[in-house]
Amino acid sequence: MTNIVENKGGRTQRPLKQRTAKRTQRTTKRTQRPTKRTQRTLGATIALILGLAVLILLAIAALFPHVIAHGDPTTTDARNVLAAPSLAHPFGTDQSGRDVFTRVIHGAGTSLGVGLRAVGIALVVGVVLGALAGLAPRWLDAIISRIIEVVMAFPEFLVALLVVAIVGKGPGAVAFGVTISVIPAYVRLARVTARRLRVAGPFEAALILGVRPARAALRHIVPNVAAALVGLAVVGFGSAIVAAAGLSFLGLGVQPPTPEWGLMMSEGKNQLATAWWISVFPGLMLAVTVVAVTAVARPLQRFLEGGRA
Amino acid sequence: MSESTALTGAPLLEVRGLHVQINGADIVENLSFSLAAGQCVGIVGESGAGKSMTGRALLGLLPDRAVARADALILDDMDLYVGGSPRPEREWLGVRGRKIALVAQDALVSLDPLRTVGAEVGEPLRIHGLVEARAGGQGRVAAPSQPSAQVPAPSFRQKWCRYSKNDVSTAFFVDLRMRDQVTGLLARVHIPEPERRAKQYPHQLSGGLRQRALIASGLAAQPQVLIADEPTTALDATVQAKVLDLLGEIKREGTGIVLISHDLHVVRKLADHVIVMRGGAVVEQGPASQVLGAPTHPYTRELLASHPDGRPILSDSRRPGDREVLRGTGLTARFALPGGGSVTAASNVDIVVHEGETVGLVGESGSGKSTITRILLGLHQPEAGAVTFLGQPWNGQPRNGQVWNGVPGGGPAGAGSVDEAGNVGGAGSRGNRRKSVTERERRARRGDIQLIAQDAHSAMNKRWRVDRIIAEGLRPGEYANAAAKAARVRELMDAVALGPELAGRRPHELSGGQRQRVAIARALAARPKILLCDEPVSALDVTAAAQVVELLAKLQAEHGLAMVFISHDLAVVGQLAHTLVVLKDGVVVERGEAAHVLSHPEHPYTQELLAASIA
Repeated sequence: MTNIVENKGGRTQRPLKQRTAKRTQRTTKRTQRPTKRTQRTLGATIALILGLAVLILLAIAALFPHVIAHGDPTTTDARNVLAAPSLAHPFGTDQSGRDVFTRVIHGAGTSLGVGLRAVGIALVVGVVLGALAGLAPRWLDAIISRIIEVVMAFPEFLVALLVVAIVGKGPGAVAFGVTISVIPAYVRLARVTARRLRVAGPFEAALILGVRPARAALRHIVPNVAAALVGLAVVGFGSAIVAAAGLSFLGLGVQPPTPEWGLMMSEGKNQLATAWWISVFPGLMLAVTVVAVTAVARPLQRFLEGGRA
Repeated sequence: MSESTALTGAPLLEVRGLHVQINGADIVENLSFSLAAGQCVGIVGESGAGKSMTGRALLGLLPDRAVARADALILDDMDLYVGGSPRPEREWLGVRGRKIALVAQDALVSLDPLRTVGAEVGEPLRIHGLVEARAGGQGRVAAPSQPSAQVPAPSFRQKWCRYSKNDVSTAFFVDLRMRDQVTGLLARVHIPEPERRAKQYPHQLSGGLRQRALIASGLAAQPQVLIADEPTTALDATVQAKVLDLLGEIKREGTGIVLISHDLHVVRKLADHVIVMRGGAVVEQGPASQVLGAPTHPYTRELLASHPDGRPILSDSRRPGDREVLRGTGLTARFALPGGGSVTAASNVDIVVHEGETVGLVGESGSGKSTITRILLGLHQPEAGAVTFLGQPWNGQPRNGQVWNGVPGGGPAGAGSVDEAGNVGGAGSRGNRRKSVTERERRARRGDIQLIAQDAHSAMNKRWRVDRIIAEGLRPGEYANAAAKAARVRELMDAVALGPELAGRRPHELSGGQRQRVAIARALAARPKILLCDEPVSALDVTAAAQVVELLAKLQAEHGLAMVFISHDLAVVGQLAHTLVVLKDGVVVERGEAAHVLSHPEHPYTQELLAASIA
């Protein structure tokens, strides 16, 4: 019960935060672009290269974890329990003596997979449904919008929980549940963006030129809608991983011996005072991932928004 | 204070050798002038000439990346540029608004949408501690003679307190203590019902009233110098004239005005001394009568010549034909208001356009021009009335019992003008009312009616290159391969005088005039029979506007295009239009041959428009 209440709080706060973040980002961009373009290019390039490097490392960790960490993530060592970070164990060991570094590397695949799947599917569904609702006749828009509003009335976590309860336990079910729970926000944003773009600008100009509406929408509306959603996706990536971790913690997703960042964070929660490294390193990895994704997504988004990359 | 200065004749503001650089590029070069009380200096030039940067340099409001130098910038015996560079920001605080104030261009953007007009106007009073009830209590404003030492910048605590304690409401609503002062200021700029207006928000005011409120806010702390940066650009011609009258009145009362504008008309009405700028450099300056009456520099002459005079251009080769292209009959449009009720944007408007003819649609904002454009384009369905294109139904529905199928040129009859087609009766009638034309029926003919909008930039896909933008207008299937397409695009670019090197640019890399040309090329790509031009040059510089108008005239002469030219400016419309339709509040108040309407306007509204634009 407490879990749900907590999540409800988070649920109502997050979209607001995102919205203001987006707005400030846009305004600063508008005011700064012409002024600090030259100074910013160098910084942006460095950030892009660093972000790409981190993402490549993460991809290697996710696909070929043995290249980076040779050991087995589930081997326990009773004599070496809760060891602090050292040369032998750079991230320390956990309560069963497992090497945290090995587990973090091996967990990358599962965690990133959930995040990628949730965000990727939500993006596609959001663009399609949102653009459809934004451009469709009023009755179809009303149907889509009401369904979305009903789903949004429930906390995201509860929706994910409900889906898992229906589909059944397992990592796949958790990923699916998390995906379903985040989709409404994407559809909403996509719909608003499409609505705004349909009344004026290049879309209407194309209609006047005689371009078929579907083609005009594909050319002038869908890319802009996608650009608007990329910002949401970058922020949503991290929270999707955390939400999946929460479900795993309840025993609905990945089961304990398997390494997964969210699960590791919750496992280490009770040892935070004595062995901080168990929770901190997976959390740090998550943070680094999100920052890297942001660094790479920013130029992409700018390109999508106006070709001024 | 200003009176005494006026008596002594010493200049209020003296600028010597002002330079502004941004990233090493000269934005303003060696500008010098002086301004006496009750005088007006006009700075004229195209966008990018450095006018606004000059204004900002005078206010110490340059962006961070700009570097400003001046041999001297003396405002009322106080040098604001010590040792050649501007004083530190904190020292400007007591000067800005109090001694030198700004009236910005776009009143809707410049006024805070969350605050009442009264709070906005009263802000300078509060900031400079001029609220009468507590005058003398706050020592924030220094004595004018010893500025640097005695202008204490408000500490953080002071600033915070200003918006915290009991002052919190004054940031958003009219402070009771200064209500009379605010009302007086609004009355001074001739805002009717100042008490009521003070409590309203910017969006509840018309453009003219908003601009007045902005001027009132600039005047609030009784500055000696007012910098007006394009104060009338966004306004209708008649409103513009009234705002200029107001500025003239302020000038006569002893305030020095620096008027920045691209519009020579505006400057001519107000300025005593004119500075013509181009690319940051002063091209010519001197007394207004001399610069505008007998310009010596070719650029000044070019500027003066580009100014629309309402005389038709290429009138010999642009001859209207007999064939009717577009006919709108009894067009009526109403929009529901949120609070119930409705506003009529167009009421029973008739419009006929022949081949090779330009119909000028004139009126101020809110007169229904844009609604009629949208109806003619088939983007908005009229509540009543119909549009036929080359005799075929295009938009809306005919009235009961009227037939328009298969009768070329015989559109449906409007109210009061029953024609023979309407009386044929059952000939081709299916007895019941024909359904209104659908978008699907229009699609094949879409390319025939094209729009040139005012804001070309927002109507273009920002990530596309120019060649792709233009190619979008080509009819699908018209060109077999990419090479033929590219050749046609090059031909179109050539037709609108765009160099081939621009093909790879994106819209934001073009100037306003170039963008409008791209829009015209895109429209031409669809091989239209008629062009609807909705204020196509209102957002452009005079010279760019003149070129675009010339281009449109040339295209009409070459291709016999029909055109509807919509504008609030009779001086521009007069250059192109054969026929004029004058709209006011959605009703046609006058129509006729352009030359006749311009020389003998009958309706008082037309006379007013004429006086405001071609003076």
